[in-house]
Amino acid sequence: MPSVSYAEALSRGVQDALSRDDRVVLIGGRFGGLDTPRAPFEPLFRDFADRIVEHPVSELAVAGVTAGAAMMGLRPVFDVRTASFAFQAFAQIVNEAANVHYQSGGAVTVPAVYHLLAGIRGSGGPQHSHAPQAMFWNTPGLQIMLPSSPADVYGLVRWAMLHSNSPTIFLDHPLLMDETGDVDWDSPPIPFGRARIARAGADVTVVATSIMVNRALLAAGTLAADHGLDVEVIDPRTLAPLDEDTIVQSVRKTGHLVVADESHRSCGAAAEISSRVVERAFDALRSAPVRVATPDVHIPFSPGLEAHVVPSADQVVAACLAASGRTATGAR
Amino acid sequence: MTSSSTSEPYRDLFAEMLLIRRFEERLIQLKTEEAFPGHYHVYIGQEATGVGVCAQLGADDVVFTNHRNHGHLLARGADPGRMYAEILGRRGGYSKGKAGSFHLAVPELGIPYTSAAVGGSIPVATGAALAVQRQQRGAIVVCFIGDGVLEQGAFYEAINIAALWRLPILYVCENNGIGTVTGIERAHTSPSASLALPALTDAPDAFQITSRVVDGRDLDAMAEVARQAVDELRNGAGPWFIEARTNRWPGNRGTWPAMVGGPTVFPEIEPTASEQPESASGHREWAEQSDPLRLAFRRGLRDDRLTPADVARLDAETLARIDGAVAWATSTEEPGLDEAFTDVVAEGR
Amino acid sequence: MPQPRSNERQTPPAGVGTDRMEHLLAGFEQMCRIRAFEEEVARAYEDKVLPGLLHLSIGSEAAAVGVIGGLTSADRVYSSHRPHGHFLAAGVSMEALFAELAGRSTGLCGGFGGSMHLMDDRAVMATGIVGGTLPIALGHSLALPAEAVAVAFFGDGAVQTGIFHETLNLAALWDAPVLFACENNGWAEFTAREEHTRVGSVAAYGDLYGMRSLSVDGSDLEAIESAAAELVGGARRGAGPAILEMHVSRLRPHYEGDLRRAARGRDPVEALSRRLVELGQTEAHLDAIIARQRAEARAALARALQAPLASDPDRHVFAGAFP
Repeated sequence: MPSVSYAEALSRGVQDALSRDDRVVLIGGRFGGLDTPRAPFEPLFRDFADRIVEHPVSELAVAGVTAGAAMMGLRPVFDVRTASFAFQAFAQIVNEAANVHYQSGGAVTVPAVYHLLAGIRGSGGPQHSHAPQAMFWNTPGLQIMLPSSPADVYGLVRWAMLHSNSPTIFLDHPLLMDETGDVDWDSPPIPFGRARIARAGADVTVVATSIMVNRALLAAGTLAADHGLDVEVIDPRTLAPLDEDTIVQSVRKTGHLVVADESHRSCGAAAEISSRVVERAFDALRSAPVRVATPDVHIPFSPGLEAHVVPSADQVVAACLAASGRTATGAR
Repeated sequence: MTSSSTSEPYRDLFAEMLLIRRFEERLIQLKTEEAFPGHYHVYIGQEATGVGVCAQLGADDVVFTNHRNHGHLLARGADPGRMYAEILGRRGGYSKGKAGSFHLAVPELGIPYTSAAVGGSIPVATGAALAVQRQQRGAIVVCFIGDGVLEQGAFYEAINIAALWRLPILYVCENNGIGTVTGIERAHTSPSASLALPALTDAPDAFQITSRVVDGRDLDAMAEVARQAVDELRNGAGPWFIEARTNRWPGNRGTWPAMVGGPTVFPEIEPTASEQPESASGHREWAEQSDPLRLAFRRGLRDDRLTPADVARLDAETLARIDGAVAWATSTEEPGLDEAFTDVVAEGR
Repeated sequence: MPQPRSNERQTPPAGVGTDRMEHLLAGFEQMCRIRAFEEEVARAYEDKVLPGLLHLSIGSEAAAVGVIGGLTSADRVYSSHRPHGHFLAAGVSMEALFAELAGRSTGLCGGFGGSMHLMDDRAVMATGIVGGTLPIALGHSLALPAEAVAVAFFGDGAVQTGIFHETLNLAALWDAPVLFACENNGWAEFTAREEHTRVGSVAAYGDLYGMRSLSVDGSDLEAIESAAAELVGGARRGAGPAILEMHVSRLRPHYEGDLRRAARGRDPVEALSRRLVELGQTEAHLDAIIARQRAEARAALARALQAPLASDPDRHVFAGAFP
């Protein structure tokens, strides 16, 4: 299996979907972000130019256009780009697209994908750094996927574009683009609602999303080498639907839970996951869950300040030590 | 009626308008009987618009509407019984009671989704037109909106895109005015307290979208302009915008419709029939000059396209049909409580 | 790059008095100031001294100076994601601006905001959201003292946002004293205007909303000054909002690091320089002005980089005490 970049895997996943199903159409298509199209995306623009629709700066209308096209049988993907811009589109995503299937009593589906580059990218400042997964998770009717590896993005994006029948918020992360990993190009699409055990372990369960998965794996390495702590890292891959069973099973094994997610602490994704585990496996927990999240502050521009608020691998280390009783204080 | 035809008999179009009228009148009565909860909107006074436009559409065409949707659905052939059931929140409703009046939709008749947010449906309708264009079905999309929509940014974003991509979409803006004065021209204040545009059609004009202003009370005029619009759209001419002006039915005042003036009467058929009290609110004047149903009837008589006997018979049939629809709807079940948890997400396959 | 049309304002005839000459020279120096600042920023960015996403005003100096130069201390300026020129023209020091771009505690916003989130007193706010400051500028204008105006700068990409239309509708309804100043460079990020709309002229929206509008060559300082004076003057006297469309050239890519070819077009600094020479200034004198501004920019950047990075991220989340 080749080791490829996340960007490459994403690009090939999108190309594969476009090749297989004529109904797939890209509205905007600059998946890699603001940068000049990275080399992996060049074939996409070159070979599928007629499947890419350029659009004005009108996120609200285009989000609705995406939903309307999906209702009529296309399988559109709206590349919203910076996740913070989704707020311009919020009404159409949350109060229209998300409602259609329910409101129609199940008669109409909206197989639309909204691609967002979410999270703290480095010097994005307060208006370009949102990780809005929790805001969308609080909306019935939306699926939420956050891949963390080249193999996962290749598998999940094809499920979203070819098999999903509901609006999907695809939360991507700019810092993932250059990460590398093995990808089996012949692997099938990954259905939603299936977590991945990124690292098996016995002592602490760490549930991590998106960019936090790699940070959790780094932390796991440190914990093993320096503290003799064997950490299990679970990547849910999708928040809605959430594979609770895999998480609960792990907690029953380890007795300790750390949840690492980049959305803000209050009502963040980590809060919800912690709650569900407490509800289902309180008896198995030997310590309170510990969250590693972005604090409830805006993301400051200055690099030193920003580094101070980004949830880091070190914070995951501290959280695991606290959860397992190795230190008195928890992580922030 | 879903058959596309510019030669649909006048009598059939009149019958559709009559069906809408009696449907809405009966709905108001149901509300006074507290048969259903919530807020709702009736199409009384705008029947010629919906019927005139929908008569130009084929089975493949798609319609998006808004909270004032009953007339559009009936004009496209929706079953009154299933509509009542939905408004009453019953399981037999088109959306199993989960949508109610606000969001009445009939996907099998090409009305996939109804938003009740002002301006909510325009982007979606525009996207449907994108799909229809790419699918090369030869179909078009009609998006019914109210005049308030022009205060929403989403409207401008969407029509800009529709013009840019030359989408096959007809925006029908039903400007139902605020007055009961005679003459359509004076009823509409533009600029108003909430919209600075001198005329509603200035907006589509600025985006190079073909626009027309039509007397929305006039069935023939609506049908004629709509026919032209639909023909051009099918030939790929790019989007159209029709402003259909009506004088608001006096019963629309207030949060809930009120049967001001009583059920519609046709003095030409029953000379002794009179309006009930409350006509002091200007209803008599409205009924004489701005009621599209009465106007269509008088013109039909004048041009020998209708006879009083036709109308009397149609009305009897319509009232019987409405009775049957209400009886059916009120006899159906409430949805099971588990329905609250179904259809949240459609599973992937 | 659109060519000026016949109904656009042209520059006044040649031959000017002393006051006027001083005024033009001051405008030239201000434009050179912006140019020098931005060139320094571009270099620093390439050297990886400055982080973040930077959108430079190179090519729109005359727009900033021409409009803001005619404002009083009571007026207010709102900006876009391309704000450096506006803030400099409004009187912010180069050092404070450099420091902000470099995330230093001495920066205009203490390093918290960065390039797209500049905030000050006279130049109130920049934004990373296209069209984001339009409604805010409108609201502010309603709270200004009599005869004061708010100027809202935006790019032509913002014209396709719903918020542009909602704001103009409200401004017209309320007769608000706002000048909507559009720097139309014919691009919205990476695509040309024709791919975004069939409406070529931004000034045409003045007809739609019943407000005064003018369209000018954005490389012509005098034309801009004249047009702005007319529109702002009217707003001061209660004539309501107005649109000023300035056709500028984006002489750099959309943002630094964008490897797409930058649009080319008329350089406002060059244009004014030629005009001043026509009016009798020497090249040497103009070169001296340029050199002075370049030196100042270089020194300001160096000073800015000596300041410490910002610290304490929990400050400023809420104003005042909060448990």
